[in-house]
Amino acid sequence: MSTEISAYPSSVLVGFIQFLIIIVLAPLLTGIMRRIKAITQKRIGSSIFQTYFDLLKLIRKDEVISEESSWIFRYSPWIIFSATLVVAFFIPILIPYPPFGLGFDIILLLGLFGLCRFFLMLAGLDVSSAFGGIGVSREMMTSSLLEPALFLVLFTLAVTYGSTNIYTIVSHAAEGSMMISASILFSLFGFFIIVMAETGKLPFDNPATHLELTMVHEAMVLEYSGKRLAVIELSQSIKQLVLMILFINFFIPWGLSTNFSPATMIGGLGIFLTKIITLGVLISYIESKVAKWRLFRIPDLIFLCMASGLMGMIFLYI
Amino acid sequence: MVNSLIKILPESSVIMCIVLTPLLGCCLVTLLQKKRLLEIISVVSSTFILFLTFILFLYVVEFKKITLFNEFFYIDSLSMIVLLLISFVSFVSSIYSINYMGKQFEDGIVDDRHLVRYYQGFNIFIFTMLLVPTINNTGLMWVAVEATTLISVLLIMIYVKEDAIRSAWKYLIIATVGLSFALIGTVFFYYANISDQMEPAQSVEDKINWTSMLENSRAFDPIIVKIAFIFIIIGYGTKAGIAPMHTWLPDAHSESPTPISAMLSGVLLNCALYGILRFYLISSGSIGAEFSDNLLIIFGLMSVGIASFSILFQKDMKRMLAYSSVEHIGIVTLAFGFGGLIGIYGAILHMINHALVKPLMFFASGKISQKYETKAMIKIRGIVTNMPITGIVFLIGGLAIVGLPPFNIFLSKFMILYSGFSSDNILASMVLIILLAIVFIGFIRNLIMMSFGKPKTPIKNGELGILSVVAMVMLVAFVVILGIYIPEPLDILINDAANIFKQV
Amino acid sequence: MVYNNLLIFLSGTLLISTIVLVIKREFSGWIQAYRYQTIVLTIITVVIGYITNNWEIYVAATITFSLKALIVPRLLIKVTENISYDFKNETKPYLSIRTLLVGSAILVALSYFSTQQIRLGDDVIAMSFLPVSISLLLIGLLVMVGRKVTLNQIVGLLILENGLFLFVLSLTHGISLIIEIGIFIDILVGIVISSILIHRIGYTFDDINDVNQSHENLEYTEELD
Repeated sequence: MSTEISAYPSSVLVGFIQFLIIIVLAPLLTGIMRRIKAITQKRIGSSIFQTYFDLLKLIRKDEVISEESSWIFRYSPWIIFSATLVVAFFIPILIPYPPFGLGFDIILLLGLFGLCRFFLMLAGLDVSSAFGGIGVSREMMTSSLLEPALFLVLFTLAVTYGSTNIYTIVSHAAEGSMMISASILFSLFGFFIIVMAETGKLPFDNPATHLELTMVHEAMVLEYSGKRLAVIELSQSIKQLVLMILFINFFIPWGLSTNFSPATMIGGLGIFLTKIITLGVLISYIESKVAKWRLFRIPDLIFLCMASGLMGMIFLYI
Repeated sequence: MVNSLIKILPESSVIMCIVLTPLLGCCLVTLLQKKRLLEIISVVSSTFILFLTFILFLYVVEFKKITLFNEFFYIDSLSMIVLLLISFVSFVSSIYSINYMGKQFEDGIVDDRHLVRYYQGFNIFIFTMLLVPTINNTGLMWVAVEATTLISVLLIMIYVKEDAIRSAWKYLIIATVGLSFALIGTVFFYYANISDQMEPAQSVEDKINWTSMLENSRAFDPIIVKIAFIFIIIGYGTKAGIAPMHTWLPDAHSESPTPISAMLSGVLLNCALYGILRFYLISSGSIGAEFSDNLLIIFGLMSVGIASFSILFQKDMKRMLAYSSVEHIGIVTLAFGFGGLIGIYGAILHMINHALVKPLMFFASGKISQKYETKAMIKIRGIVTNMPITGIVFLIGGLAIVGLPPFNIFLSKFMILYSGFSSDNILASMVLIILLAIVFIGFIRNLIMMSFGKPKTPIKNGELGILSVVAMVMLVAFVVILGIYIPEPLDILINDAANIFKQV
Repeated sequence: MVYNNLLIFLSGTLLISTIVLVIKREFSGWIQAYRYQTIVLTIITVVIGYITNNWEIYVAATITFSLKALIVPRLLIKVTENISYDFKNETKPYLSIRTLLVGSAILVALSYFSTQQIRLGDDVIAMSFLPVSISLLLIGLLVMVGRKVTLNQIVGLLILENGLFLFVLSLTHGISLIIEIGIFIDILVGIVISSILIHRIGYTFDDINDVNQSHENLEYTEELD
């Protein structure tokens, strides 16, 4: 198949453009989602570009680093950021083919995200503050359950499309008809819940709160300030965008350009932007409709994902 | 004689009158709302139904089967037996109700509103039960059986007591779930009927009729028939109180008003059993009798077993009677499983006998519990001295129910055991005898303790009301007569019904 | 075969709506999820009616929607308005929600496996909806036994009834209308009766454990009848 297209100069260019789009758009999407949440709650909310200003402000500010902390605390943001950037290089937006001639496996993606989470948790523990400990223990509980569910959901997808390579999955999905098997529907449902969980959305975590009883992600990064905080926030935005792009490309890939002509690629980009903003609106809307669940009920939701993935597997073999 | 009678009273009008009278009765009850009138209306309507059923009985004995409205109503000997039981037991219950509900009214347990609701429910209950054996359409038969559940739940709910609510809820949920399975089974049979293209002459609408299913049964897919029959036996078996689906039965039967307990136990179980039998005929016609026979034997034996041990350790009088119903339905199921002409004859006779004895026992126990103001058997002593007629009737009923000669149940039990031993089911028959001995021990011990001795707290002697005694004496008469002699028309009817089973 | 994708898509949607129903703990949440499930069921009914070109199925779809998506939820919400929290919301179910979810997934597998044994010919509708309907039935039963709160058993019953409706529809492509109306009336009356019972349970019992207590455990003292 055409997945093994060699690295033309133009395709490398496309790859860089994709990378830039992700980096640049990630804070914007966060801003849009915050704005929509504010509107659904009958508030005016800040500008959608506020996230950029926040990042700039954080970069210019001084840092305070705890004396108790080790090198892990200092280097973790950079490790997280670089892992996220590696992921961002390989996410298809304009074309479903590998721009740098390299395939990108879905398990590698999970591994890189796992690396991010690992260092984030270490950093949270490193400063030995009480909140960090709370956040880390919660995050560990959620993620240890979330990962099998994610694997189950993605394997359903991989078996359906015959590969764990992201590009193969996306190109097969884009070529296929509306829904080649009901199992896709189940993995869609499961993956949606996982996106909500991984990006720290409401039934799982409330990113806007600083109440010690409820926060998960915020508790881990509580000790960071200045540049390092900016880097972590940016990585978080990129991760959210990447997951949403994957969701779109796996389950509603239609409109994706299948050749390298600039016209179709720009058209595809337009459709892509519409889809991603619609998804963002949907997620924010759902967030404003639900309340935060008790921490010990969160496994219920994750089990819902697993059951859904399991049913998807069943549907594959009938 | 029958030929001249049918000219005066054509069978169509008889059937329509039987079905519509209870509805009319319900309307009148709703309109009039006077206590005395309610009682009269119910008795008159049930007497009228009994009379018409008797005429229909003569017709069926003469013509074997009667159909109406393009086979919408289909009455053969089997359905006639169930119809006779329904009309007779509801007649006796309506007489007994006057006395029983009157006493409840005087004691202030029920008020005017409850009485109206009771008699409305009573009439509708009879209506829904009458529909079950007369309708040919198996789907509508299911609807009618489900309707009997709903209406009997309403009748149990007459009392606003914790126990009544609890048992009504249990009954509603378990019976509804069980009957869902029966619908699945029915639909599977229907599917088997429409999926074979052998007979394009019939329209699809008629394919759900029992007669059409029986006709085409040879062409059915055996796997579907097997699945369907299992669903049917679980579904209608739940309603018939076959173990292990019987758990609702003791609660519902012991918490409802006594006349309703009598009807639930005496007739409603038979109506549900009738549903199983209809599909048993189809599945026997399709895949042979062996599969369904084995199922019936297993379920029947299980019911008798569970019921016998429950009777042995029972403390509540009405619950003991309810478990006895489970036991008897188990015996009937077992007997149909044994098969053979004598076995089927015995099974049908047992259905009739049980429907006569169980209301008798419930009526007597209702009077006893009203007198002693308790249902706990430890507290009841010396019934025979306190209430001579009720006591003797209770004793006769108790002796009949465990199967002592010369009462009717002895006869049918004997036939059933005979057919069991003669049909290579030695093991099942031997287990049955042992279980019956256990029932005997449990039942007779309680019966003797309650009947004789001295009450712990002094209780005024005397009967409670003449009408209840009338109802009980009528039943006793039948119990004794059927033990010695089966009238010829009834014998013909039972033989015809048994022949239906033999033909397939 | 044109509709094959659509049918599989719809059956998947119905299963998802069912497992969403399973994870709810509050009575109001159940009712809401039940409403969504019924709407999916109505869409399926309409699609089956369109494929088989049978007007009676459209009637059935209309009745399903108006009865199960509008009347029943409202009725149940109305009767449970004044009932205390303990009677409505599951705090300690017999089977935890995680067990229920995994159990439901296994039941779905089981029903797909078991319906493979039946020869259905080339009937697309039966092939895609029969297993779903059976899994709905089984999940309904599982939910009923898994819940401690008596009220929630009614939701299991409702799931079961939806499964039953789909079962009848998928296997027979519309049994005659009179039977379907009979079934609907039975369901409606059943729900009305159970809501009266719910209402009575609400003011008769003090404690939720009283409702489940078996008769034999009661102290056997004076009782009037």
